[in-house]
Amino acid sequence: MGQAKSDQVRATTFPITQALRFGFEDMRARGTRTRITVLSILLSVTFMVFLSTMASIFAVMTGQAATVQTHYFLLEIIALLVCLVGVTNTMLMSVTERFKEIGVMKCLGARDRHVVVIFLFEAFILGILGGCGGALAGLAAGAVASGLQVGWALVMQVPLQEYGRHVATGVFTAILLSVLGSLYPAYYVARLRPVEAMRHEL
Amino acid sequence: MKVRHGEYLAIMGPSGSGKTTLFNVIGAIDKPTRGKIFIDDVDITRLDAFELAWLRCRKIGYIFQTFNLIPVLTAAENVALPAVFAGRSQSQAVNKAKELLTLVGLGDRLNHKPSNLSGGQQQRVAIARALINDPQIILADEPTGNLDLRTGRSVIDLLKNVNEEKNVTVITATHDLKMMGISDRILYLRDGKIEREETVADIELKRAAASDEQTL
Repeated sequence: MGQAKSDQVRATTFPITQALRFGFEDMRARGTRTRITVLSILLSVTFMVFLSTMASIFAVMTGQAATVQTHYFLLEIIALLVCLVGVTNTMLMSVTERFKEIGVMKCLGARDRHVVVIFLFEAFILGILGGCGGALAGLAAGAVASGLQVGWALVMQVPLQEYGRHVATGVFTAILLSVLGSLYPAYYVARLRPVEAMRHEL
Repeated sequence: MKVRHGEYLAIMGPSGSGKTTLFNVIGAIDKPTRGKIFIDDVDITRLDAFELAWLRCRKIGYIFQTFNLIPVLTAAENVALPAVFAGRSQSQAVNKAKELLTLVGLGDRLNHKPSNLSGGQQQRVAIARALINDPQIILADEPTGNLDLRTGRSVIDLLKNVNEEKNVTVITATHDLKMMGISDRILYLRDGKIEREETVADIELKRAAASDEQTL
């Protein structure tokens, strides 16, 4: 075999394609864990989008802008917190489970950033899956719940852009929280010495 | 403490003797609180994360008691991983991995995941992985600790083979007395200090003396 890339410059590399492949393999092989993670993100986002959808529909009904409705802000904040805690906790658990694996990879030449990239990518994918699923589910649930209460006519009156905005917010929030939630633990473990990471028996 | 190129060194001692700590520190996977360690005139305690990663990838190969293979990758992918970090393409790396796996006798298990391999087979995958970047040093932490007698024997033979044919320095931390017969030198640790040292010559003398005693 000819010269390796790291013969010229004494640096180890981990191409993005490899990180992507690794992330995919990992999510595939740990199917149950992946599904639970996605589900937890999904549920948080469903709650959030459900609330904002209902608020939009009631705004049409009462003529009050959503932002003026009494409980709206409070509920939205709670929804955001639910999202934050749920997603962060799930990602934290996900990363913590693999401390040992990360320690081993550092023995094979992985640098801090390589480890972080792998987790970031996985978090991104999980965020998209959970976010899209949750946003659509939340939209549907909000529309149906409102429709049953106040009639479908009102549901139709809300402009499509507004619904689209809620969905987009949901997806964006899921991705953001997913990535942030895994960033801290990933960075933490990436900076451990290999032996310290491997000692984390679970 | 000095280790020569191509030497086969065993570090022995009871639990708590500092054997693992010494091992981890000379293997660049842990940092000592005091002191310096030189590999080829380079003080590894002063290297930054960048250079350490390179060292672990290219100069040192690791073998652990608990095998430590990546569970979601196949045997071939596991062995190929250090080569990927070294900058090889995936296909190049996997090809070389397959060669090495065949060499250690696992040619028919290339696409098995670790969960489908026995302990002895996993350790052999780990050995192939440790060899893929043609390292100068192999660090084996209790390589036979989780293996039965016969499998342990074959792993030790494999290590000795690598040591002799490729002139790779092998440093093992071990409880296993089977290591005594093939090590060039043995360091006995106790309470964090080197208690004594034995070389091949010493071991031979001991054996000769022991058999003399038996005949008397």
